[in-house]
Parts: sequence; structure tokens; C-alpha cells
Amino acid sequence: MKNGFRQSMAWLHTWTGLVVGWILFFVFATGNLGRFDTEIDRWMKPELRPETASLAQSVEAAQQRLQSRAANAESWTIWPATNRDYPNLRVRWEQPVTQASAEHSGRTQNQNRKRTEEYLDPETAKPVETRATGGGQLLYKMHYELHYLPRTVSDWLIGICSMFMLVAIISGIITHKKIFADFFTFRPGKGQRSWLDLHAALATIVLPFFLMMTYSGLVFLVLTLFPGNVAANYGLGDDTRTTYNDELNATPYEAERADQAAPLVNLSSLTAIAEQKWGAGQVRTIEVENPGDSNARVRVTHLLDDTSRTNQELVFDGANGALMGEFSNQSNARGFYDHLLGLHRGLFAGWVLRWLYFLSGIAGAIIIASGLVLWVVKRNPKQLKQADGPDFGHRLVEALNVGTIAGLPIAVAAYFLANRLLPLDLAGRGNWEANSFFIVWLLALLYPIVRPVGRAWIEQFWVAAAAFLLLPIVNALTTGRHLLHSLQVHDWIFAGFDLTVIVAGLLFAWIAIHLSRRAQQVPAPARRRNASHLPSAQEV
Amino acid sequence: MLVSFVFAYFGFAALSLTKARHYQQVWPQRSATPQTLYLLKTVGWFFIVIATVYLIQLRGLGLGLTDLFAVFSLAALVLILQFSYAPRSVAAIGLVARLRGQSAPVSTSTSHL
Repeated sequence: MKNGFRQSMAWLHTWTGLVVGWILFFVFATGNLGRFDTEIDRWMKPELRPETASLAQSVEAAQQRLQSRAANAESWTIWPATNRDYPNLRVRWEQPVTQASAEHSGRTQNQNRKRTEEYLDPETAKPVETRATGGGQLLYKMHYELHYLPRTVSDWLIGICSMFMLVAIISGIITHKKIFADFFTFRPGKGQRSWLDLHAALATIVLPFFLMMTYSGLVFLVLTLFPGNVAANYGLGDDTRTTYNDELNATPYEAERADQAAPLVNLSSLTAIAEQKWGAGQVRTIEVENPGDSNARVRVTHLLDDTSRTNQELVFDGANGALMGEFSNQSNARGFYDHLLGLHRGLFAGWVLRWLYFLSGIAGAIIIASGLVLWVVKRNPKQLKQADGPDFGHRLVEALNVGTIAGLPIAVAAYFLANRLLPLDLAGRGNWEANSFFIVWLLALLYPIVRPVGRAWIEQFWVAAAAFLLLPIVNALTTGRHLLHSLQVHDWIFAGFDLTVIVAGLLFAWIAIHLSRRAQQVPAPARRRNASHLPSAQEV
Repeated sequence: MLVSFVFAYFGFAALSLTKARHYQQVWPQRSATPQTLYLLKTVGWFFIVIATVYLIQLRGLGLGLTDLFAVFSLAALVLILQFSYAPRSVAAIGLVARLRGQSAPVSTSTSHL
């Protein structure tokens, strides 16, 4: 560490950023794709078609299906097709697993329910078979679950990385002397200077977003990172967390099963009442507790259009249809938490803001990537002079940079390609999609071992470009829904997906071309293994 | 949101021209007089405040501020790209300043704001 406050902060910024940079890049890239999780879901389940059925028709179809398939379930949930988040009619029922095994495994009932979900065709009330896929949800969940790790491990890992990130952001602000003078400054084509400009200027203009995402990300994990909060009030026993959660999520008008059969009222009559109250198109979910019992409860929920994602509920008696009451889950104690999480998830965002969220996320990924590249560029002059080549650590960082920054996009494309190309009857198909993602990423990480770093950058960006440009073609061949067709029938999900991957592919190709040109300009003696062919900032 | 973007863009454009480096990029031959700088600063902050008030009026405090930061990021990004690759294109907004504030070689007495 060096003397002086700012130098110390610069040191802190450099090293906190470096050690977790690659994981943070992964988190930012996959989390950012989650801005379009529902759209990606729709693309990855091409069997689902856009719906036009009325609310009443959807609810009736759902009730009919659930009555015949899950009359004895503990609870039902119905999501009619209403808005961006719920594009298709979907139902879920929960059944307790057999008594013996529930007692055997002990305490929490929550963990001993079997959930089944189906998409339904509102016209026929029959389930729609979709291919086994993790869809956009899995891709989005990767950014905090890290896919292969148990939640306890991934929560801590992500928590620690986010904390490092917060430290890096704050020390970065302190380090950035000319934050106002350089607010609008980017000087391309000047090597290290350009990388620093890119890193600093982008970080400055998306700072509110960047800080908010990191901080609210940490707040998500607050119970993991500060377990003492719950322990102090609920004790240290095994089921205190369950008690805590039950109390936190307690809802009024809950009722035990009376074990007296009583037919359930017509749900569509209840949603009609709710629509009268809230206006057309405002009903989001219909939840039924104890269906078929005389103590059945029906909750019709409505979502407030703000950052907190507050639910309003109408609770009905399921046996006679009487309105029992209305309540909202809003509370001041949860307000802060809910608003921060709401901002992080951005589910409230309309199309314009959603795209801006997405662009900010890309900027975030570029900030991290340029920081990592800057670490190498800054040390290159000294490292390349060494007689026996750069140090191991230097080469390791270079290789991880290539494998992550250029490799991760290839992995994402591989995930999408696997969705279209894996046989539909493959066992564990959904898992294999995710495995494809990580296998390809691993290959991309190993690739710089066998190739000079400069070549590896160029080649991997070419592969990324090819993979993304291949996607619309593979999609057209496997589903028949090509771009022109999607545009003609105004299928904005498919058209938007195709157009976005085409733009991404062209961008990667442009980077590759730019890097090749630069590599040719480098004078011959410098073009040895591990020489720096790192791009100047203007390609990114 | 488009309206607020326009406000934010003009605000940032005016403010960016108060930095000597960017002013030079747009008018290599001139340097800004104190009056011009004062004008640019006033106009810049004026538009920033207008954009803020407009969005909060339109969307409420929480959503308004969320939108505002997104719009600011985009407006600043556009300006950064303009200054890097086509600095003269920022001149449109600067024209206002030139008409009113005037720059050093011409006159300093006509400034009346």
C-alpha cells in the first residue's frame, strides 16, 4: 500500500475490483439478461402462443382444469394472461406429500409440499406441453444462485463479492480526482488513457444505477449476511427462521380446513367483482386455499404499479362467494426493503425504462470489463520487457479476461442454441441447456492457454459473433418463425429477440475486425507470444 | 420520457460546454468569456431542474427519480459519444450561448442577461 489517502484508495480500488471482477462480470451479464426474463422465456418455449382470451374465459378454463386434476390440493394459484409479466395462462397447485414422509423429515411443512405447474390453453382448458427448459428464469437466477452451488454457499459468495464491489465503487469515486471536469470526456485511440476514460466516464454517468444495484443486491442477502438480527429476536433454534418467515408473510383471513366438502364458487364471478373495483385488466392472480372445503378462501390480487410491488387483495369465502375483506401487504417496516428490492428487480418498469435498465446493465458490465483490461494494459509495458516473459499472475489475469469477457457471450449463445438444438425427449433436457452454458464457458477459459492472448481475443469475438448471428437462422429452421414472419404478425417477442441477437452479433464482429486491424498495425518485433494486442477502448 | 430526455440533454450540453476542453472542441478558435460561462451554467442547471421537476410531477417522487437517473445516464452517454466522435455536433446547443453571451474575439459588451 502506498502513502496518501487517494493512493491508498486507488490501491484498494484496483485490488478489490480485480479479485472479484470476473464473478461480478458474470453476475452483471446474466442478471442483466433477466431484464427480459419473460421475453426470453417466451422465446425458449415456442410452444406457447400469444393469448387473446378474456379474463372470465381464462379463469373458467383454469378452474375446470384444476377441479379435474387437483381437486384435493391444498391450494391453487391461477395466473391469467394479463400483462408483460404474465403472458400466458398458468396454474399451480400444491399438495402435501404423504403424511409418513412429512413426519419423517420433520419440521417445516413448507418444504414438504409438492408443487405442480402447467400452462393452459384457455380455449380448451387443456395443458400446453412445453419443452423442458430453464428458460429466461434460469438464466436470470444464475446471477445469484451461480447454478451449481447450494444457496447457502452462493449467498455468501455473492454477498462477499457484492461487498467487494461496494468497496470498489466507493474507493473508485474517491480515486477519480476529476469526476466533474472529466464528466463528458472520452478520448479514443490513446491506449491506457482511453481505457481509463471509458472506465471512469461510464462509471460516472451510471453511478446512481451502479450504486443502487450493488447496495440493494446486498439488502437481498441481509438475512444471510446478518443472521444475528433474526437470532436476537427469535432465538437460535432450527425452526426460528421458519417462524420468522411465517410472521413476516402472515396474511389475514387464513383458515384451517374444516373437512366438510363444499363446492367452490364460480371463480370468474369473483374476478368480475374485483375488476369492477380496480378496473379492467388489473387482476393479477387468483389464489384458492382449501379448494372444495367449506372453509375455502379465495384471494384475488391486484398489483400496485410502483416500485414496492405492493399487492392489494380481496378475500372471499370460497363456499358462498361472500367478500370477507380487503387488505394490502404494505407496511412501513417492510417499505424500505420492498422499495430497494423493487428498484433492483425493476419489474415495475415500462418498455422505455426497461431498455434503459438494460443499457445501464451493459454499461455496468463494460465498466467491470474495462477495469479488468486496464489492470493488464497498465502493467504490460513493464511485464513485456521481462526477459522470460510476463509473470504467471499477469498471464492468468489476461487469460481470465479473454475467457470471461469474450467467452461469456459465447456461453449465453450456446444456452440459446441448446434450447433449439437438443432433442426434445432428452432426459434432463433443461439441465443440459445449463450445462452447455458452463461447458462452453469453461472451454473459453481454457482456450487462451493454447493460443496467444492477442489471437484468443480476436478468435473468441469472432466465435461470439458467429454464434449470435446463427441464432435467428437456427430459430427459423427449427420453429419456422423467422424474422420476417414475426414482423408480419407483430410478434414482438420473437422479432425483438432476433433483432437483439443480430445487433449483438454485429457488435462482436465489429470488435473482432477492429482488433485484427490493430494487431496488424503492431510492428513485427512486438508481435510475439503474449505481446499486448489489447484493444484500445473505442471497440467496446 | 422523451421530453425529459430533451431537457436533460440540453442541460448537460450547456454544462459540458462550461468545461474548457469541450468548449475548445466545439469552437477551436475561441475561448469562453466569464459571461458565456455564467450563461451556460445558468441555462444548464435550469434545464436539469426542469427535467427533474417535470418527471416528478409526471410520475411521482419514487418513479420520477428512477426515470430521471436513467434519462441522465442516456443524455450524458450521447454527449460523451458526440464529443469523442463528432464534437462539432454539440454546437447546436452552443449556438444559444453564442447568440447571447458572445465569445471573446467578437465583443464582451453585448451580453445582457
